[in-house]
Amino acid sequence: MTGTPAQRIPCGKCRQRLPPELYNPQDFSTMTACPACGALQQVYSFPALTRNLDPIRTGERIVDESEASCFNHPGKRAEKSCDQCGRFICGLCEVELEGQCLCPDCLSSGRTKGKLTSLTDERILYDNIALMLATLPILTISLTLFGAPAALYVCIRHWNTPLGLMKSRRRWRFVVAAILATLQICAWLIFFISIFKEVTDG
Amino acid sequence: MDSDGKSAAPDYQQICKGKKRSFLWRQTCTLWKGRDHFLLVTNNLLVERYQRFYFRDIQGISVLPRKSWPYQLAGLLLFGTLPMAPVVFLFRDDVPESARYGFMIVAGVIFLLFFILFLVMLAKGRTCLCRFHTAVQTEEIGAINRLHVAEQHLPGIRNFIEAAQLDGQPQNQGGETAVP
Repeated sequence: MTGTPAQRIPCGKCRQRLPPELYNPQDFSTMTACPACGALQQVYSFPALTRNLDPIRTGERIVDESEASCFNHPGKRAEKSCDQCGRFICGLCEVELEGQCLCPDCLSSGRTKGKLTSLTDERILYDNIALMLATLPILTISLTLFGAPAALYVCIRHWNTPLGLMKSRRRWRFVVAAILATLQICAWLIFFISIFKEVTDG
Repeated sequence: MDSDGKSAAPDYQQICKGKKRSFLWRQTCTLWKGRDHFLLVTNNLLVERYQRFYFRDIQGISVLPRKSWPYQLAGLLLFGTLPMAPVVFLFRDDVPESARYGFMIVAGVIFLLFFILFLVMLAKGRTCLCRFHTAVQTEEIGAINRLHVAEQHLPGIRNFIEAAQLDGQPQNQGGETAVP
């Protein structure tokens, strides 16, 4: 494997493209030095490095008026239909995801609504936020007056919000946060009631 | 997507776990193996971020041992022993006995804490920087941040990638992640 400069892996330190003869050492203890900066490292290459990329699909133009056209591009021939909405789409609009053929609109709506987990790139951990709101203000005591209701609100509002993508994530943090927040609110209520009684009694 | 319009959560197998340095604190990174891709999960306590690396797209993996590890070890020992420095002044006659013992206890506890950290870091082994290279990106894999972790898991990771790229289909779907 020789490869063009673009088909070479860069050095982990100086980013210079490494020569292919340094790739794929026989065993893990063998480190190779970058010819430019001398940094010892290991580099493994895969067939994708030298593979030619698939040609970009642009969609074929309609030559016969009896042919079905793309929903988004009336001048292009429909090649498939969207598995979600059934619209005819050309090769340019077609997106394959999770074994389905989707149109750009369904892909976009699936992403914004969080229906396509394979497009999820971020999730807010509301359970951790609730737990922090319920525990950290305890250090100052006075801030629990605001932290506890906020923690309780987050617990109720986001109980059904999907947490992490992994199934291992449970909702026990919500439960702990809700219990702590409730206890703190009760403590504040007792405190205010006792002050109120003291004022009214004397 | 299933019948109610929601995608079922894909099945992943955890490969390894590590830490990644960030500006404020260290982020926890885990690497998972999916049907046709690796999923890197970066957790900073408030937000979980996901990066997918499809087997067919990975062009290379590089592992660069960090040089900072011996310095970190030396730094821990140094910071642990620094509080011991004024001990020479404690043996003067005008220093009361109670102050002497008090100082020795405080300095000893600080040294012990740093020494435990030193031992933990020594046991965890040398750190490294592992990167996945694709045609359009080079991403640090924080989950592989120790050389021994890289040594243990890279053969399996390479096997999945090579199998997917040579056959067009990933091997060992749902099987073991570490392949000897």
